[in-house]
Amino acid sequence: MPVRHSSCAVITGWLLSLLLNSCSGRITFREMPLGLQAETELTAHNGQREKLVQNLKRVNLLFFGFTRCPDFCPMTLHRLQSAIGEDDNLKQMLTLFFISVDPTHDNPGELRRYLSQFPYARGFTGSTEEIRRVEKMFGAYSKAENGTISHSLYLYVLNKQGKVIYLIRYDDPVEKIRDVLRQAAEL
Amino acid sequence: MGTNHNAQQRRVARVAVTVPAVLACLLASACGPRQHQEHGYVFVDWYIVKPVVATGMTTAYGKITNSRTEAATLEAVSLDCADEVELHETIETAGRVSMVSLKAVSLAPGETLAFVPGKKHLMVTGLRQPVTGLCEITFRLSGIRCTFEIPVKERKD
Repeated sequence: MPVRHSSCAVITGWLLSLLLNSCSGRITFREMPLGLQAETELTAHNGQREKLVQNLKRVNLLFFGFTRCPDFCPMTLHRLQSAIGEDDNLKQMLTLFFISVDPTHDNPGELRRYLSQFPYARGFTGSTEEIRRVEKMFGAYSKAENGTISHSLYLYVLNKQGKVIYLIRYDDPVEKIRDVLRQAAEL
Repeated sequence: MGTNHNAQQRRVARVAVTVPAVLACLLASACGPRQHQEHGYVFVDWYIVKPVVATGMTTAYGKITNSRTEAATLEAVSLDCADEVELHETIETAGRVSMVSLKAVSLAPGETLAFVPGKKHLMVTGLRQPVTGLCEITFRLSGIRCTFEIPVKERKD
C-alpha cells in the first residue's frame, strides 16, 4: 500500500512538473543517445582538420546543409539569426556547426564565404564517408537526387558534451527558438 | 458677405477632407504591399531574396491570385536579371527535407497561391550581381504573359 501511494505521488509530481513547465514556457531538455563522438574530425572552414568537440561552447547547434541550397538552408539560418537578434551575450556562448552534405562542392572557401554573415557559425566539410559517419551519429541521412540534395530538417541542440538535448524544427516560431537558446544557455 | 463666407467654409472643408485622403493614399502606396494586376491575375509582394553570398543562387517569393472565372496554369516564370527561374517546392518526409521541381502549378478561379520560404518558391539561378534597381519578372499563366518589376531585398521571414 505505501508503495502504491509513493508511485502515485511520483506520477502526480511528474505530471504536475510537466504541466508547470508547459505553462511557464520552460523547455524540457533531455539527453538523447545521439551526438558528437570525441574523435569526430572534419575539415573546418579555415581549411584545418579539427575535432568537432573542441568547438563546443555553452550552447551548441548542429545543422546539415549546403551552400547551394536556395530555400531551406538560408531560411533556417535567417530564422536562427532573427532569434539571436542583437543578443551579443548569446552569440559569444554559441557555436553553430554547419556540416555540408555537399562535400564535393562545398570546400572550406565556399563555406567561409557562405557563413561570413554568421560569426557564431563554423562550417565543416570532409569526404563523403566522413559526412555519412557524422550523419549516422545524429540519425540523419542525406541523398543527392534530381539535381538537389535532401537532408535532415532539424537544428540539433547539443549540450557541452556534444550530446543532443533538443531538436528545433525549421518551422518553429522565432520566439520559441530564442527561448530554447536562452534556456539552453542556463543549463 | 454671407455667400463669400459659405464658399470659404466649403473650400476649407474640401481641403480638410482631400489632404488627409491624399496623404493616406501616399502612405498606403509607400508602406503597403506591392501589387500588380494584369489579365485578371493579381500579384502581391513579389521580391527576390538577396543571396547569402553572391553565388547567384537564390529564391523569389510572393502571391498570385487568379481572379478570373476560369482555372489557370502557371507554366513558367523568367527574370531579366537572372539566367534561370524554376518552380520548386520544399517538401518534408520522415525528418528530411527535399526540393522538387514543379512542371506547372494550377490555380482555381479565385484561388491565391503563396510562394513562401520552406514551401513553394521560385528557384533563381545566375542572378546577376550586383542587382541595381528593380528586376523585370514575367509569369506565363495559361499562355498569357504578365510582366512587372520586383525588388531584390533582404529575406523577410
